[in-house]
Order: sequence, then structure tokens, then C-alpha cells
Amino acid sequence: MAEERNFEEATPYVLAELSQSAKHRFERRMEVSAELREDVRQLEEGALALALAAPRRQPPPEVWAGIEKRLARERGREAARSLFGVRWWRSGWAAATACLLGWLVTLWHVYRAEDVQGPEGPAVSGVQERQAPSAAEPTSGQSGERRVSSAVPSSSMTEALHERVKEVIALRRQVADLSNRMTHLSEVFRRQEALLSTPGRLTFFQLTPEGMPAAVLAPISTNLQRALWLAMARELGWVGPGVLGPGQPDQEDAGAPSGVEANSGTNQAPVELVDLRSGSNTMVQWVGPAAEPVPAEPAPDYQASFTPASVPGFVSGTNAVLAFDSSVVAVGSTVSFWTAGSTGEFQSLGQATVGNNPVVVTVPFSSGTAYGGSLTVVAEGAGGVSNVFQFSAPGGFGP
Amino acid sequence: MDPTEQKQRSEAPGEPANAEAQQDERLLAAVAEGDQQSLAALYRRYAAVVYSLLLRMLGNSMEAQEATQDTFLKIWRRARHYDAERSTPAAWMVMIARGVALDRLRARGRGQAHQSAYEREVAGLEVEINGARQMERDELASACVAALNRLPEGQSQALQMAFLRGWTHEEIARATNEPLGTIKARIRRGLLALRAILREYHG
Repeated sequence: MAEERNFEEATPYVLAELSQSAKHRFERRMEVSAELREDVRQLEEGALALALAAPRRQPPPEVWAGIEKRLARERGREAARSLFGVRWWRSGWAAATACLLGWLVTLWHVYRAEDVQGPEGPAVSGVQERQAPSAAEPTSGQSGERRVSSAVPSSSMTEALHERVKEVIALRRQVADLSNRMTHLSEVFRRQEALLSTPGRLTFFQLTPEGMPAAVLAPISTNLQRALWLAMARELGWVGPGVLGPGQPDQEDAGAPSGVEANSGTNQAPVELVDLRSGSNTMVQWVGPAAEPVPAEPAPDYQASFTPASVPGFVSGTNAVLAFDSSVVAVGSTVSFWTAGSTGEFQSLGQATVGNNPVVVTVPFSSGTAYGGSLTVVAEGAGGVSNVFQFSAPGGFGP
Repeated sequence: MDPTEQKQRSEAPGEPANAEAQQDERLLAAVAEGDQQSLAALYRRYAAVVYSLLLRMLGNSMEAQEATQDTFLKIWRRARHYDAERSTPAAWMVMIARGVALDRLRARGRGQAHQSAYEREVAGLEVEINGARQMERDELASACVAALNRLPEGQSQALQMAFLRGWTHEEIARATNEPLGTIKARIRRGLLALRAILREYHG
């Protein structure tokens, strides 16, 4: 009999016919009854057989594409919520509520103080009455104490009210301002996340001297590493491309971190940025954010025992960014850039001069052909000694 | 689930381990951890079953496609609540799909559940279940159809109306002029009979 009753209740449950309350009651019973759980399991398996009897059709491919899009949207919403979302709002409103409560308590104290001190001003002068203390109220020993019951607030109470109202208005402005900043920061975060998640956003490589095995190459100098990091930060939009040089004011940028300073009073070598894209050959000097002082590295004796070094760089979109300093080529060297197309012809991209400061050069780089793309860098020193660095990207290299 | 109970379940006589169900359980566990690849694997395995069921319940492909998306998103969100002791992964997912379809059917509204509406729907189901070409069903699906056709007529009809069209026991009882207890018993026995066929098929 009990078994029949169980089955009788299990079928409407499996077929989703129970009301919410009946469903919850049934589920509570299931938690303590293995028999009931087994009943439900068996009935669901029978329902599965019904589903399997349907003529089989494959959904079109756009169904899964739609699922992926909706999942991506959900993840984006969750990321924004977790950064500054409900928790922040709650704490912000909690702060506002605490201030409001504090104001109410202060107001109550003010009322009580007025009651104890007596009426002030004409607004309450005519309204006084003696009230007998109730059993719950402590009696005062002072016979002169008067309790004021006034329908019109005193001027001091009005002032206090005004002050509190002003405070609340100011707090509301602060909350609105903070919420705007939160929205802005969420947007920045979302953009950064999109940038970083883009596959192949930055692809790193090293140009090696022609015919030189990688094992004998010198490590990348600290100055060069710094220059490359700054170039990467600029490429990702973390810092602005601020044009800074001696005597020029700092250029404010929304994405620039604090601490960007003009090139004075620091022992950081400014980084020279050379842009050879689209036929332009512009050079600007840029310091970047202040960093820990780096000891000056001795200039290598290029003629005598120059250990060949590689040229570090990265591909970002359709550009290649390379960094040079005196550890790679001799000071005063002219570095020229060439690319070869699929048919083998060389095309000049421009040139730059490497001085005492690290130089970051941006050149157009295309690997869009089936044969890939190539980049050849020829460094010619003052003494006419030249080095050739070659980089050939396979087809499909880069984003 | 208590590990001891789990061990006892898997060793129960007459209940061989189902490798497919175990694989599905692993995928669901990974989905619960946020692994989209596992959701994609579940989709590859069950999209056709889910879509076919939804197409059968909703009657048009656009709605069935949307409902399929809703189903797999619900699977994604609820995976952490899946309890292997309560149902197999396949049954759990199919019941989610059915729930999605029922919500849409209820939103459409059905009007009065009277005898002529019941007979019309039953006739439609008959065409669907037996009109499909053999090639559209695999061996398992054919076995399920055969099992359905072997059920007494009243039982098969009540079962399909309840499961596929969302008619409640009370509505079926009213439309067929049968006692409510009779309808409940028919549907229950029908489900158990189909379950037995499925077990027999899996061996």
C-alpha cells in the first residue's frame, strides 16, 4: 500500500504537475526515503525512453553558436558584477544608511537637549506645559525643569536639520560620483580583459644575427627589457603615448598610471619611439612610468669583443615592435628595416639611429600571405661593420 | 552521496554499470566547475535527443532551436545541483528540456481540455510517432517506439499526452471521462513498462 502511494505521488512529481509547495514537500520526503528516490529514478528513465522515441533531428549549427554567445555574455556580466557590483553598492548604501541613522540619533539628542534646556526663541515661548513623570521615566530632582511640547521647531533645531540635509545631499553626490567611477573602471577592465583574451594579441619573437645559433647570443639588457615592456604597455593601452621630453609638461592620459614624470631628475634613460608605419618616420622621446633606478650598463667594446645579441620584439596586429640599444648594436649605428614579399623582392621600411638611449621601432609587418612574411634588419656601425638580423614568420604567424 | 551507498548501488544485482552514464556524470561534474568544453561534449552527445524532443513538443523548428539553447544554458547553470542518486544524466537533461518546453506551451495557452481537443492531439501524436521514416531513428529509438506501440492504447495515449503535451492527470481524466485514479495508474504503468524496455536494451 505504501509502495503504491509512493508511486502515485512520484508520477505527478516526475511530470512536473505538483504545485511549488507540494513539490517541496515531496522533495523533502525524497531526501529521507531511498525508496522514493528509486521510484522517481525509475519513472524518469521511462520518460527518457519516451523522449528517445522521437524521430531524431540534428539542430542547425547556429544553435550551438547561440549558446556560446549567451555564455560569453553571462561571463562578462559576472565579471563586471564581481569587480565592483552588488557588494560595493551594498557597502555604499550601508554607509549612507549609517549616516542617516547617525543623523536621526543626533536629531533625537537635539530634541532631548531642547526639552531639558527649555524653550529658545519666540517660536516656543508660549507653549509650555508641565508633564507628570510617568512610571517608566526617571524623575529629575530639579523642580525648575520644564518640559517643552512645541508644534514649531526651534531655530537651532531647524539649523541642525538643515545641516543634516546638506550632509545627506553631499553624501548622495559622493555616492553618484563613486558609481560613475565604478562604471568607468568596469569599462576599462572589460576592455583590458578583451584585449588580453584576444588570442595572439601579442606574439613575441627574437631577431637573431644571420647564421648565428641562439646558444651564443647574449642575454637581453635590462634597459632593453624595460623599453620593450613600456612598448608593450603602450600597445595594450595601459599607458598613454604621452610625448615627454626635457622641459615639457606631463601629458595626462586616462589610462596612464600615476607617477609618469618628465625626463628630469631621474636616472631613467628615456626611450625613443620610432614609428615607421605608413611611410611616416617620426621619432618621439618617451620616459614612461618611474621605475626603480637601474645601474648604468657599460657600453660594450663593439670592435673588440662584441658578443652578438638578439633583437627582442613582438608582433601586435599588423605591426612588429623591436627594441634596440647599445647592447645589440653599436651606439651611432643606423638600423634599416626591410621586408620581403612572397615573390622575393625587398622593400625598405625605413631606418632609425641608435644612440645612447634604447630605441623602440614599430614597423608594419604582414604575415598574411601563404608564405608568411619576413623582416630583415641591417645595422651599420660607424666603422662600416654591419650586422644582419633576420626573422621569417611562417604563414599564419600573429593574430 | 555516501561513498558506501554509492558502492552498494553499483554492485546491486541486476544493475550493471553504465559506462555511458558514468561518462556523462564526469562531464556534468566538469560543467559544474565551469568547463565549457565539457558542455560542448554533452551538447554533441545529446543535442539531437533534446532538439528532437523539443521539436515534437513545440511543433516548430524556430522555437525548438531557442528552447534547445535555453535547455543547455539551464544545464550549464544547474550542473552543480545534479545528484547522480536521483537520476541518470540523460534523464536529468531530458527533464530539463521538457520543463523548458512546458513553460513555452503554458505561455501559449491551450484553452479548454475537453474530449475533442484530446482526440485531435492524440491523432497528431499517432502520425508523429509512426509517420517518421525508419532512417530517422536509430536502433534504440526504434525499440522505444515499438515498446510504446505495444502498450495498451489508452495507456500509450495518456502517457504521451502527459509527457509530450503537458496535459495533467486531471485534464486527461476529464477529457476521457475516466476516473483520475485510473489515469494515474495508466501513466505510471506506462512509464515503468518503457523503463523496462530501456533496461532490456542496455542489457
